[in-house]
Amino acid sequence: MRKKNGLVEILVWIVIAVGVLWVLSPFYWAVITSFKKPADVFRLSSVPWVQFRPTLANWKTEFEQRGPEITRGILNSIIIAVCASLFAVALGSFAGYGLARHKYRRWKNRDLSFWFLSQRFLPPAATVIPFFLLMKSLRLLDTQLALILVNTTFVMPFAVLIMKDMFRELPVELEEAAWVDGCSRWQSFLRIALPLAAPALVATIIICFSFAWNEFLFALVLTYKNASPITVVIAGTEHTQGVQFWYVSTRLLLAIIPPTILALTVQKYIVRGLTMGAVKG
Amino acid sequence: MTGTGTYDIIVGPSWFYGDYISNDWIVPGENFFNDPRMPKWDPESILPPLKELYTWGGKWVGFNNDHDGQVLYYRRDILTDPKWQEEFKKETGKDLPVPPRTWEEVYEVAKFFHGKDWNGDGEADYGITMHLKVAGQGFFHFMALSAPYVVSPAPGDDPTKVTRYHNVYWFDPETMEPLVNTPGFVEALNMLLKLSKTGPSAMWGWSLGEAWDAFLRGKAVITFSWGDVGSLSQLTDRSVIKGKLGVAPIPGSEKYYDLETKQWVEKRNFVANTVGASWHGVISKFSKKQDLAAYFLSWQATPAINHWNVVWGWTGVDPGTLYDLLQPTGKATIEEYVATGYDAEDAKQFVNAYEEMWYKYPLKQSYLRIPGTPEMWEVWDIHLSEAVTGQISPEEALNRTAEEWNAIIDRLGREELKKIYQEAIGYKPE
Amino acid sequence: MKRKREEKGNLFVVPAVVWVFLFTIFPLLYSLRVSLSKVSYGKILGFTGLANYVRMFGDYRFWSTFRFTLIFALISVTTTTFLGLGFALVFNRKIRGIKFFRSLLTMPLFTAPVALGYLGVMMFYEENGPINVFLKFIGMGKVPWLSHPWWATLAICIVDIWQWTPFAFIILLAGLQSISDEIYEAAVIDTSSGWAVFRHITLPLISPILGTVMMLRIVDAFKAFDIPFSLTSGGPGTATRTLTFYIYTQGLRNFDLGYASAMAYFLLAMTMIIGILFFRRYRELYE
Repeated sequence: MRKKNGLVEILVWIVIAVGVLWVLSPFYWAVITSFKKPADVFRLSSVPWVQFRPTLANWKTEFEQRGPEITRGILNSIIIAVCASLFAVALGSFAGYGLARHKYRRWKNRDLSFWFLSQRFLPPAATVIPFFLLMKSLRLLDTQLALILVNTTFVMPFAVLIMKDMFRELPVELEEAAWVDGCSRWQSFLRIALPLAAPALVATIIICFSFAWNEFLFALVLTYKNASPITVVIAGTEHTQGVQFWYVSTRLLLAIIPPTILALTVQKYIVRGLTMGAVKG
Repeated sequence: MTGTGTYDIIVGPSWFYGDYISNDWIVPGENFFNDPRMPKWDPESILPPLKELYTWGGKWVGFNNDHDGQVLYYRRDILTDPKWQEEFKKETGKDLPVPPRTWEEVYEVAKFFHGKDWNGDGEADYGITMHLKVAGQGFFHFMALSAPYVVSPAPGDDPTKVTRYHNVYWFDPETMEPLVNTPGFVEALNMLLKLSKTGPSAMWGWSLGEAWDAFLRGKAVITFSWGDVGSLSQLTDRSVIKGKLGVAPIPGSEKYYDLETKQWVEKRNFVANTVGASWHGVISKFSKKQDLAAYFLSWQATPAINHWNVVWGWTGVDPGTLYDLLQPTGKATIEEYVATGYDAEDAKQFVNAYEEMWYKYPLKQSYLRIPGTPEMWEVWDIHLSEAVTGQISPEEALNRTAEEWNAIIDRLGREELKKIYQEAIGYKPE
Repeated sequence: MKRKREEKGNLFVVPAVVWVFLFTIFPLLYSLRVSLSKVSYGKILGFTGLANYVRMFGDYRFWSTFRFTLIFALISVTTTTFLGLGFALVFNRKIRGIKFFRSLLTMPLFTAPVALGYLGVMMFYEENGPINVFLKFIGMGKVPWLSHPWWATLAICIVDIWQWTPFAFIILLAGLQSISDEIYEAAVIDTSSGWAVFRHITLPLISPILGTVMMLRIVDAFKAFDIPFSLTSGGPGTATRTLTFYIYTQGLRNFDLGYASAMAYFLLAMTMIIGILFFRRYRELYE
């Protein structure tokens, strides 16, 4: 299978080229559309400076006319995603550590892990209605807190299972030595295990951040205006004047760029993250 | 829509009135009109069909803001071009109607131009452009189009009198039985289907933006939509038709269906529409600062602010008060429009079309203001989309709509809805 | 001493467990109650037994959205898995710079699906949009992507496939890379056919991973909402409306909460069945 073969090599590169084109072309289209004048959008043109003259006008108008709405959307997204991922990873690393280092009697470790994992199978539609009613009666509709709670709930099982794996892969000897020296479990967790798992911890936060950033259904249901994250802002602008490609492209780029760029930094943990630890990449 | 007192003002679409009234959520704006502390605005300057949306049972409820209604836009330069007029005559044996006054005429014009390269760009161009995507406000198109087929004048001295069979559009006010599958609607839907084939089939999946742009960049000869098209057509970075715009009031029909005699009447019928949301503010009953809320809304409603919104069209507010109409009917001058960048003739066409529709049309379409309205419109919208894309027949689409409306009415309480419906359209049982 | 440690260990999982009870189990129980009630405008009016569930089975739109959800899941899951496997096999060799390309290919996974839907509106634009122009260039006619029920279904699937093929790809690649070279070397001595090696060595070794990928994809496909919402609004008609989308409109736009909750429970049951099947087969992966 691994023999050097010129023809095969070329074919492989062709496949890679097609794959990369397939992945990048939609991004490319969004970027150039955001730099086109409305008149150029509907004309077939894809090479800037050659086929059309790029302009910053859309970005400018967008920030002049809808500046507050967009900055509020981005700020909300940041606040919600950061808080949710921090909460989730805090809860997740406790639980992950517990599952990695302890034997539970009443509920077996394995069952507990499955119990957390099973939430990956839970359709959001099943909880969106009770959440709406709950937040309504708590007067939390259109608050960032509501979405922080929701997103924490969604990404926490990820954090639990990934962190469980990470802790389990750490050598237990260091901690055992500490216990002999009279350290409590809590101390050994904070002083030894957690620092050792720091890179994984950061990666988990980033993955959770991306998922929370991209969440849409609950954001749509639980916010109207003040707490709307960027995903809802891009959806909301459709209704007054329809989809105006040149403005929509600027908005959707703002929503797409942060998580995709961040994700490039956690490649090492991505497989584990996506399968909740079933496959170690 | 929470009714908890967190908001002093509810700025909502006009179809929320059913909920406002049935839940007793609001205070009539009228209570504040004579308060000397309030900025002065004149409710009577709102044009007659629009008044209906701001009042309930003869009382003023809302504060002047938006005035929605669809009118017909066409390419004045093309339709008045002798070359095309001659060609049209040759092909159809009739004179090219400028502007088209009925949907039958619109269809002939759109059909004639569709597929011809009338703008000289080397490609086949379109007849009409519409936004027919599901959830893309396509049902408002059908609402405006179907009105003249369905709404019939009352016999006797006052043709505008609301009776069980005349000047009604939504339901039989005695039984709340939907009218949506009556012959008038079926005929109208067939017309919509015919029209939908005189433009690009892509428009079955278009929402507002794409549909307007096809007209603005000179690809379609006709469209009908809200006032936004009038103002957007003047923005030259997006539109190539400044100075070429023709506007007419919404077309009528060559015939209408009389629900009483159950017969078609072969007479031209013109019905003004107020389709759209006509967003405006009302004062919440739960507000602890009702005065302040009224002050703010009154200020927004004053001629200075509201007219400014209309003239600077990008706020999406359509001309609907006497301040917006041109003299002598109204109070505005063409110079005001030109000063903000309008082409003089375009502006005249635009404002006069609205004036004619809202001032001179004999009949008007009533607005649906009962609880459950959004849900009813949603199922309607879906079935219209299914009919346009050929998934089901027009009759089936409308029958299913009626069936589902009945289910919604029964779920929400038929008797209660009937009472609200009668109040909303001003029907008094005989 | 040992006993004490275990007790303290309990405390580590308690916060997470409590959280799940508060924000998942409790809402689900509440939702069950709502699904058995008559609800009007968010007010629970009374117990109606199984009325909402009965209504569901007679609602043709429920069935049409459910059918679309199944079709969507079938097309999207099989295509992403096959494409992902294909790419993984190609990339599973020592090529310089491969890491870089692999990273690029993971970008779609982290783009907000709702944004992708709006991007799709531009990409699938029928009159001179980039995709149709490309198709014209290779000699195909104008495709009615968003104005025809079947093509719209395909458009939704394509966006989803675009987004999730990298998921299958990187996971399967990880699986392939975990197979040691010795196994292959031993195999190549026995047989010279690449296909035979794939069929008898590679496939059995990665089959648990393949199963994981497919299960996770099916579950995600059942949750689809964002892309139909933004790309087609579920249309034309309801041709591309997923069950989640229908639950959303019925429950949270029309406030027919009892009925929507009943449908949500149906969806929950479907995914739970898939989940249970999954656990049965692939327990050991999570040990």
